[in-house]
Parts: sequence; C-alpha cells; structure tokens
Amino acid sequence: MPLPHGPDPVPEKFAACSVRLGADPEPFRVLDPDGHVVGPLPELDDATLLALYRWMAFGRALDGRALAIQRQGRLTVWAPATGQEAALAGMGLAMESGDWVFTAYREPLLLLMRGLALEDLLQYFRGLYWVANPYDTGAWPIQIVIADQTLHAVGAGLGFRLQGQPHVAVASVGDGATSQGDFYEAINFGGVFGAQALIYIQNNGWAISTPRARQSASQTLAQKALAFGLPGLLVDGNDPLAVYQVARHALDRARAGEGPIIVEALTYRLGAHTTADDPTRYQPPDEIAAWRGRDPIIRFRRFLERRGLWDAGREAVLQAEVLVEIDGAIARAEARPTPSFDRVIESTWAIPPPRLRAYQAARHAIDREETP
Amino acid sequence: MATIVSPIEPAIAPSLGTAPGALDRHDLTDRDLIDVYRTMLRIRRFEERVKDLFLEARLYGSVHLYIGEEAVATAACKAIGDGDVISSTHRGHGHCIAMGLETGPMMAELMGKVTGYNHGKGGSMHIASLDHGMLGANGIVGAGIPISTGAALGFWIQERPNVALCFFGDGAANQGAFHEGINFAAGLKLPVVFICENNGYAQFQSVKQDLPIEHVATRAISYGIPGVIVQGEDVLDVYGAVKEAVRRARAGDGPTLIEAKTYRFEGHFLGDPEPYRTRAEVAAARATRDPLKLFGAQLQELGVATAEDLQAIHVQIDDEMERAIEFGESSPEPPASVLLTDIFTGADEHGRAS
Repeated sequence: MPLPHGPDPVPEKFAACSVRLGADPEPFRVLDPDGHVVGPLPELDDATLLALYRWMAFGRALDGRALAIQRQGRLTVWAPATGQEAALAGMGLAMESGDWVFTAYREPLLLLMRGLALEDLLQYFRGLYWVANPYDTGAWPIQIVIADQTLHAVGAGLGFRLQGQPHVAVASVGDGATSQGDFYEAINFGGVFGAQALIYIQNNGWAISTPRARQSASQTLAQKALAFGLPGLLVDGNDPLAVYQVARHALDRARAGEGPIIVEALTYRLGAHTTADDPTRYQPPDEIAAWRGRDPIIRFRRFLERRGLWDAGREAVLQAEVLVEIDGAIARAEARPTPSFDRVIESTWAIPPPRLRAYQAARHAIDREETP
Repeated sequence: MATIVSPIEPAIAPSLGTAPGALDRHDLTDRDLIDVYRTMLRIRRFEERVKDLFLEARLYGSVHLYIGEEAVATAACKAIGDGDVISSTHRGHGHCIAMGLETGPMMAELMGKVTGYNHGKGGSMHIASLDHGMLGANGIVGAGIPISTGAALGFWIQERPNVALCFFGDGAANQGAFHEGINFAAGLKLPVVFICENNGYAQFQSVKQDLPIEHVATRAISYGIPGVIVQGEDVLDVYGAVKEAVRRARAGDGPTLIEAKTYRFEGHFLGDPEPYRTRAEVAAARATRDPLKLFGAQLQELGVATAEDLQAIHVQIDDEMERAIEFGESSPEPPASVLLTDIFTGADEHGRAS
C-alpha cells in the first residue's frame, strides 16, 4: 500500500483555512455573526437551506426538553449541544448515505440527521442500552470514553478502503480528545495506511472545566494534522454553510482514498458539560456573552430572513412543530417496555462466558418467583 | 548544523548548532572535550564487550546495543548538571554511562549479580540509579516520556531549577504516550527536553514505512514548541542543541523536541538477523557516520589531543572493561530471599500495603 507523504494541495477556496508551516490559518466563513454573506455560498436550494435550519432548531429544542425531563428523573443524563448546532448540522448535511459516524455524547443532532430515530436514542439516555442497529443508518453507538471513537472511525475507514467501498467514517471528537494518546495513535495509523476517515474536532472551548488554552500549547488543534502529514482545515463552527462546505470537501477527499483529513470547527458550548455540571463555576461571564452574540441559530435565521425565506410566523409554527415531534418521541420511548436483561448480554457477547450464563439463569429464576 | 523545523519560535535558530565548515566547541574546555571522548569510547567498548560476553554465553537475557549512537547520549548528558535527571530506553547502556554510572556495577547488573545497580534483578533493560539522576532504562517503548514529564512536573512544583532529559526512539514517536506526555509538558511549560534518537529503524521496520512525515521534529508543531534536527553522529552539534534546549527549559520557556538523526550499527538486539536492511547500508554508515572516529578527528583538528593521547585513553578504557567484567563475574548472585524486595514501598513480601 503506498504511503501518503504529505498532504495534497487544497483547493484555492480552502487555502487560507488550511494549516501549513509558518502561517496561521483563517477559519473558513460564509456568514458573519449577523448573517451577512462574507464568503462563497454553497450550492444548496431553498428547501435544503430550510431543512438545515429546521434541524438546528430541532437540536436546540431537544436540548431544552431533554434537560427538563432529566430534572424530572426521566433521563439519566444529558449533554446539551446548545451553541454547537451549526457545527453538528453542517456535518450531518454533508455526509452521504453509506457513510458512518462515530460520536461522543454531545452529538445527538448529528446522529438524528443520519437517520437514527429519536425514540431509539432516548432509550439509551433513559439508562438502557443501544437499541438501534448501526448498520441501518451508519450512526454508531455513543462513545463515552474520550477520543476512543477516533480508533473506531479509523478502523472503519480502513475497512472501507480495503473493501473498495466509496464511504467515509467520521470521528466526531471534542477539543479535550485531542490530548489523548488514542487520538494520536489512531490518526497516525490511519494516515500511514490511508483510511477513508474524517477526524472532526468540535472545539467548543471547554473540556468539562479545562479551557482550550490549557488543553494544548499549539495555536490551533487543526495543525496537529502536520504531525501526521495530513491536511488540516479550520472552520467557523457557528456558521452552518461554512461547516457544510469544508465537511463536503473533506468527505470527498477521504472518499477518493487520499487518506484521512482533520477538520477543526471553532464553536462554543453555551450550556453545561452535562446535567451533572455547573459551568458558572468556571466559564467567564464575558466569554459567554461574547459567544451568545455569535449564536449559530440567530446567525442562520437572519440570513434566511434576508433572503425572504423566513419570518416570525414561520418561526412560531416551527417551534410548535418540533416540540410536538420531540414530545411524541419521548412518549413513545417511555411507553416501550423495558427490554429484557438478556438483551444486555446478547448485544455484548456472541457466546456468553459460563459465569455470565449462570448469572442469567439465576436471574431468570428470581424473575419467575417475582412474577405472580 | 542544527535545523529548526517548528515555526513557533524561529528566533532561537541562530543560537543553535555549528556554522558549516567551522567547528564550534561551545563552552567546552579541553578537559571537557577529552572527557566527552572518553565517555563515548567507554560506551563503545562496554557494548563491544557485552556483545562478546553474550556470544560466549557468559551473559544472558536480551541485549540492545547502542553502538553508533554514542554521541547523542554523551553530548546530551554533558549539557546538564547536578540534580538533573534523564529517562532512558530499552537501549539504555549508553545513557547510563553518560550519566556517570560505573561500568563494574552495570556489568554486574547485566549478569544478574547482587552487586549490580538493581541488585541483579533489573538486568539490561532496567538499570536505574537515582543517585546519578538516572530514572531508569525501560522495556516499554515510549514509557520514559511520561516518566520524565512527571519528573519535570516535580521540579516545577518544588520550584527546583532542574531539568529532565528524555531519550526515546523513532518508534516511540508513534505512541500515544509521546503525544500525551509532550502535550502536557508543553501546556505547563515544564523543564524537560525530549530527545528522539531516530536511528532509522523501529525494531525491524524502517521509519520510511511507519512515519508518514520526513522528520519526527516536525511533530513539535502539534504542541507549539520548537523542533530541532541535529546530526546524531556529530557530538558538538548535539551538545549545542541540547545546551540551548536546557537553557530554555531552566528559564521556564518549556520543552523542546530535538531529533538526532543517528544510525544503529548493530541489530535491534543481539541475534537480530537484520533482513530489513542491507549489509552495504550498515557498512556505509560505519565508514562515514562513526561518531567516535569523527570526534577523534575533530579533537585533533582543534589541537586538543594527538593520536597518541587518544591511544592512551583506549588503553585505559580497555583495562577498565577487563576490571568491570571481573567485578561482575566474581560477584555473587542475589539470594532467593530478596526476590520480592525492591518492588513495593511500604508493603509486605506479598505486596500488600502494611
């Protein structure tokens, strides 16, 4: 297998946002924080632009509902992605059928866009296990161990290459994951063997309470690509049209078998790390205020309004619609019977070890006694 | 001539390395230079005698020889002082000798004798002597990186003006421990100098196959620290680069990643049939990249020593090696009763906390 020695030149459009020796990259941007067009627009029709906005609004509303029902004890935990909707929806839109995505816990929006049913996802956050078949949608189970999905995506991307399949495996990680040894080993290995993988870093400024400045002394996280001889692109993560275009280019490149590529999206976590966290103890108020002024949903909405595609009336209808949709999924998830304990074992082991089988039998005996 | 690859602090470039065509002895006195030669020769002869003993079945275990790479350890350890520490690799005899460990107890350690630095229980890959600032050789590839980073963190917390040198190979540069250790050290600007001894082969694999970029030093960019490339067979080049990196580390400017381009004259371990490289390649390296020959010629060029002076040192070192072997072979083996000592602190013989 030929060894890729150094990245190919990137298209002119992305030259300034590409990491290289001796120069700081400028994040790729299409919309300014007020929604004015300042960069090249992607070729997306109005229906697709509206669908993209709907997904972002859906993600924001889902965070609100999920936080509320977690406080009622109806979900075990929730990791809100408030403020990161553009980074997630831009990538979700750019991926193609057959592509696989391996995420952490803050990317429900990305998984839902790839076809995972919300009620299936909610089963997981209700404290059950992953019920959806990943092969149906390419949305793989959530990884809690920081950065380990990088290994999974690179492995899958290597499989795509070896089998000659025109698909890409996307690893979605945060800024904290870039300091993990597994992140490094995975990308280095994927680079040497030309895995069809995209490493997508959502730099939201905080790894729980560790600020980006304490995460790494490197100026950007995208420049870590230079350690592997791979291309690295920097994008404004609060600009869905910029994320879409950079993601599209990166996916095309990986799909063509030119090796992995790293994309860093600059965004901000406007909510807590999870429902077990109080970010007011560490996030500076002026920093939060500055990022609220770059809210991705407001930015995109203003863009749509200027194009005559959106107004307050449509917004009100949409907000009502997504809540009905979300509440319906919650109701369906809660109405499902608790899956039998056996599924936990069956979804983990092809051949359960004897000790586990003995435990299973003992448990069945108890269940029989308790059932009147 | 040292080459700077990191764009982060190109300002340090002029102070590193020697100008082409001119020998820069830096701050080294005649006595220092002779001392450097003596240390390099001590490493060479120690390794040669270890090879002999191994082939004669007078010494057991796996042995990784440092022949060809002597200039790196010698120059680097010459650039540090009292209280400074190093971490080493599975190929650690040279680092031990460069830190001033004596060849007698080293030989005893390789022979599994009670008079060895680890009482005969460590062997070739685990020689350590905290009195010498030698934190240990290590059989795990890349494991020295977090260890030296941890030592540097200790210096930083205790506000001690010391530095840690970390030696590792090109293979270790693909380990997660490399990434985590250097990222952490760079983030806190810890006083540690990372020295990659790129000898061209990770065990039996060429760096051309496992490294997707040309230089390990380029990876410094990932951590926002300077990356420097030196010719590993040129002891003065290595010294200049490490000296400057140590100065930066002590001044609180953080770590430097130095890549020494070197070459391993022997196999990965004794008994390696070396199917991954040609004999011609090894012969060419021995002819043109022998640090001992090059430095011997440089000493004469500088007028520091004559050929006769160097010959006298060879005689002394040969004699020292005879005594080291005799010391090792005449020492007793450790009794079985000490098998479980030196493993846990504050624990009983079963490893339980007391």
